[in-house]
Amino acid sequence: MTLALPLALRRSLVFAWLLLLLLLALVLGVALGAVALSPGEVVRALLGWEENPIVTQLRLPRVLGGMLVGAALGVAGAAFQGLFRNPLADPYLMGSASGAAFAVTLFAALLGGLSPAFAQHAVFQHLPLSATFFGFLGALLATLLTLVLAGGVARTHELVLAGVVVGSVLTGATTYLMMQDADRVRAVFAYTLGNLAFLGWPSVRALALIFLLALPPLLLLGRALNALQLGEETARSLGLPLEALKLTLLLSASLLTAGAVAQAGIIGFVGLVAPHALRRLLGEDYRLLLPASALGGAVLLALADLLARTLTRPAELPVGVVTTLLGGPFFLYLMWRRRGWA
Amino acid sequence: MAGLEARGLWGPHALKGVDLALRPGEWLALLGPNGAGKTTLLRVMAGLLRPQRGEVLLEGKPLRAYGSYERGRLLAYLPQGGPYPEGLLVEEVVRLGRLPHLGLWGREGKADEEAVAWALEATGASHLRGRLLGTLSGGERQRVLLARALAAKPKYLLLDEPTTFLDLEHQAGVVALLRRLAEMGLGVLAVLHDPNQAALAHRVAVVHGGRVVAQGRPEAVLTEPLLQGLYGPGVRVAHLGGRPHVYLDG
Repeated sequence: MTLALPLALRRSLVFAWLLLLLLLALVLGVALGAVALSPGEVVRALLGWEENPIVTQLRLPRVLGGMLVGAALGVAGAAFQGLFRNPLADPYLMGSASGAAFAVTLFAALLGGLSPAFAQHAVFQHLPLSATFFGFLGALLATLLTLVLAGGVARTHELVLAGVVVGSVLTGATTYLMMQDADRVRAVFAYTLGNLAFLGWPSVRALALIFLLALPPLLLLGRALNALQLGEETARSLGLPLEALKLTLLLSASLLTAGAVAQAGIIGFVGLVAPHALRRLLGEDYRLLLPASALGGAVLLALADLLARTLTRPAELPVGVVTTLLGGPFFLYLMWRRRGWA
Repeated sequence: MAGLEARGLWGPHALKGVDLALRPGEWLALLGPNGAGKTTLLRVMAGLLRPQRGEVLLEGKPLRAYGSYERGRLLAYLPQGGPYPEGLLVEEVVRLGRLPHLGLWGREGKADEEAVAWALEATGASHLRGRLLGTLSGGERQRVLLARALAAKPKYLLLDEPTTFLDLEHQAGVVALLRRLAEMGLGVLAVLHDPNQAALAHRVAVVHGGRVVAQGRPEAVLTEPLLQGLYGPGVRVAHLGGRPHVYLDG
């Protein structure tokens, strides 16, 4: 980690860059697609000077929803990493995303008897908010199961291993549930691989509500997360109400994960990569790292979605394929760097 | 009554009836073989573990009657080793020591700035302020973590083997610092496993089998029969400059 620039200056620059990239991703995300729009058209439509249903009905909710999903995953990843003092913790690797996906699928199966509700694969966009609550329980249970199997949070390799086991089993169970109806195979893949194609305004509203509930507690606990990095004993000796704190962090991060999964399926590695890259730039102050990870996750997923939409034009890749293909090697790099450390 | 006092502590784990008192302005060393219950005793006295029987009094009042932040302002605790945030600046780490004064959301003010500056000064770590914790040597890091504990401006400082893993120079630095802090009026309780470092304390309490088996001035406590009982027959005590000096007889 080099510190060529004064840290304060560098931190401001990082935030400025994140906001700039977010704006760029917004304009590009709205402009690119089957019908390409010029930047001028995009800006005029976004500012409401010109009526453009492609922008307002199709692309804008997808881009905004995608950014909210990315932000949720980024900030949940940062919170998990801080809570477990483990740089490899994230919603995907901890199994909590798979837990949410399984619970949401189970909910849909119970609700629709696996048949009429799955009539089109656009079904996910219309899952009610109560599905997110179900997903929240699933995320929470899967996280706790991973922790139990790993025997705590301290051993990085056990944690990753347990997370992979929990995630795989739950993903298998999800696929099995959905394969009960073979016509929906495409929808199954789209969902378990993560896809932003189904996002509409209802999804954006649902995600915004989740954010209002879960983001403030996390952003307000930055100092506590910093203190937790000194170890639980020290944190408690400083007077922190540790149990309440850990519960709040776990619940908030699980709710964000569930919100993202209920709307967009399982999208891997955003929650790992965004906080990680930013930690190297900003240091480990969670008061900065949490909001930065939200911005970084939004930018990452919006850019990944651009790739997903353009790489195999006119067909589309599920965005989860892109994040996994890019995030997997990054994860390997982290494991390699940390070898002998855990 | 000023002081931090353990009265008839039984359990958890190894403790079997411990009475111990730490006074302001004194450096008390806890000495004993591995597994004797030193760390458990320290954690009970820090309010991090609850004894099955007996109680800890802080300034004459039961420790559990204090609010957790209030306790944190009076008692600072530094565990042995433990995780540390490599990616935080030294200054940010030391500031975390102000948490008992600030709570989760309080704004830092002038008093906090001054306390941080004082703590860094006291531990000789002022020049490290702008460095990342992960870039420091073991000795430098230990001084910063000590500064973190001091930043709360506590009346009592409880330390678990603060000199472990340090080279001789830094061991000497920490030992001198503990003495200085006691002279400034703090009560310092430090678990040590080197009897020669304990010999520099104002008082030594020897923990063995979950009890305090001896306590008093180092020259009265650190005798050959006692130390041989603790560590085996190969231990010898010489007296250099009026101070006990413990060595192993090959």
